[in-house]
Amino acid sequence: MTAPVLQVRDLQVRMSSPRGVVHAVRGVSFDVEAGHTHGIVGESGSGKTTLLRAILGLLPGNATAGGTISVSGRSIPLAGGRSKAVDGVSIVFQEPMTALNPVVRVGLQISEAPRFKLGLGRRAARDRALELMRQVGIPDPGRRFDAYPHELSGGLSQRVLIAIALSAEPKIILCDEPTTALDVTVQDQILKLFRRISEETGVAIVYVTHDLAVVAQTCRTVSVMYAGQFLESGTMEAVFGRPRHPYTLGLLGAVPDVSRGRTPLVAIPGSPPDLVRTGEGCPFLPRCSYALDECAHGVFSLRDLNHHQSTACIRSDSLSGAAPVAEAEAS
Amino acid sequence: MTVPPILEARGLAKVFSSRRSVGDVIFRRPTEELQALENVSFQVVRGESLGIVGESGCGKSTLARCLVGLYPPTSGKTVYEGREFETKRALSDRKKIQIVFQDPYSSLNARMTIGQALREVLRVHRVVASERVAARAVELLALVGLDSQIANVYPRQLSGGQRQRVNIARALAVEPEVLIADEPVSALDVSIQAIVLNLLASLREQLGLTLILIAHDLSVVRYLCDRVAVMYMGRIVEIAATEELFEDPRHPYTQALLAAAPSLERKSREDARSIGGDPPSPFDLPEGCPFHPRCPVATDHCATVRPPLESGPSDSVRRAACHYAWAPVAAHHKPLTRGEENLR
Repeated sequence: MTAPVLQVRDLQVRMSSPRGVVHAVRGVSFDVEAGHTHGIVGESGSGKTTLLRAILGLLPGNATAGGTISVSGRSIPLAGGRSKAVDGVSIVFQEPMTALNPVVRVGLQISEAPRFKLGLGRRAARDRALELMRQVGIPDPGRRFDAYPHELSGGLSQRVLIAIALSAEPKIILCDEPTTALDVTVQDQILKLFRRISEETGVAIVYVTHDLAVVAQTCRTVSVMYAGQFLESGTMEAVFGRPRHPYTLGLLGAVPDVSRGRTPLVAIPGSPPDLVRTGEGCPFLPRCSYALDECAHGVFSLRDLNHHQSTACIRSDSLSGAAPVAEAEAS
Repeated sequence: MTVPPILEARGLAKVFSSRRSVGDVIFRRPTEELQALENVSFQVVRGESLGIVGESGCGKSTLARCLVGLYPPTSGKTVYEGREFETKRALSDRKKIQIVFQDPYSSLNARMTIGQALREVLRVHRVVASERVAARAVELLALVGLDSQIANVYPRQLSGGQRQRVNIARALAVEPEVLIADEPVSALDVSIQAIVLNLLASLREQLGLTLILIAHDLSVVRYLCDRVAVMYMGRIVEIAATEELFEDPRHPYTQALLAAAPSLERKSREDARSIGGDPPSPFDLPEGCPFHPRCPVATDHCATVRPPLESGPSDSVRRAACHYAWAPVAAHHKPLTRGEENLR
């Protein structure tokens, strides 16, 4: 086992807001090794984007953070405010059309980091950009180098963003819902590209999404995020095959799947929690059908069940073992 | 089908023309035209649920708007129980077909309480006697599983899932026969989607509604619909019973769409057939079959002759618009050779 490229330990992020202090990330810990893809699944408001911003070193000025994040063994500063983006970490955003500068040719946007960060000359930076464009599957890079973002389709813009993310030779690429704005057939192409990139370059990928099926397709390990904390973590097979947290179990039963016929969907009652909430107990308690009196007190952090899986649920043993997925496979 | 259809689209077409500036007229630049719908025909029988799937820009929403009478079609017509429905409809005709829009955040009036919004519809359409209006509004909320208290709050106080249920209640207020839902869950959180999907399923059963569900998400359609129509570039390319379509898709685009849809149950899909390229610009559709530049089985025949939507030799219900949906590739048609662009 190699040393992890990304190590997050007990990360806490608080942000002041007019309604009170938003506790957006509450004690998150995880590791990602080189060449691996780790998925983080959560609904809107679960704190996933704030977590990514903390790793990138770009927390907003009103944020305070605790815990440690280290990239390739070096710990990075967590202070809020105008901190500098962290070396070796880059990000691919959700909206490819709005993340690019509309008045700069895409080739120049890709060659910016090689020129000014890696110190290449103009000619060498251009060659590097063309090579990156070829690597991410942009057809006819010579012609596309001089294109403006509005001349590109959504899929091509997302490839340009991925090329930019790769241009500074990162150790880690953070992906914030990179395919949500794309059509299904184009999403499929981009997911395959991510897989190829991590195999070829050995970069670690943290993939954040709300789409369980996309995570199942791309990631080796996965964490389920809710109310700013991880409720369950482990390998893809373990977490989606034998979920040990009622929230994961609920999510898997609440989404329709193309490969499944009309298995009835079971909605999770209630609505996602408010991150201003304080107090102790399990964050999922108000919506949980397995809850006991003990669930209202104490701190619920991940504990290992075996070396494939950890859960924050104290009743993990009494969850009916088979997830909908496992049942469907058996039948 | 021996049962007469409740709703029928007959050759619906819609062309949008770009707005012309003074300069365009002076320099005689040609008007840019976008064919959003081309010759779309289908029938829906009472109580059926038809899904319409396709990628963005394929004309799904334009189709929905033509059916409800929000857009005038360029040609073709909407026929309801054998009678043509013009775009401008009598109040009584408007009641028959109702629509639920995609975005629950912008489709409710922010300055009206939920109760006011529902009561307005009930009064304008004179659905119930005026003294019954308030009570009926509460009944409608109960129908979609919302508390009567909701009547007194403003949309901003509700979650996306609650708003979407209010939208459904408002559409049902006039007691429609056909409900069109345009991407009803795509703006909602994962754990909330199931509530709205299950609600649509149970309302259909309870009220005998005919449902037309528009979605880009194949799994949603598979869950709710009896039949599915797949659209590409303004045309229906395949229409079939849901299970048939998912188990044995005949059109290469349907096959590609199914292969590309991520699933929890298929583990590795490296082998799955996927297609390259992007959808073409709707301003500049390719000759012949609009899918041929991305199609893995296209031949020179496809590049010149547009395939009609035809039924297969054995069954008359399912139809596909591909030269090779039912027949093998004829020997004299050669596979297309393609540039690097489409091979990825």
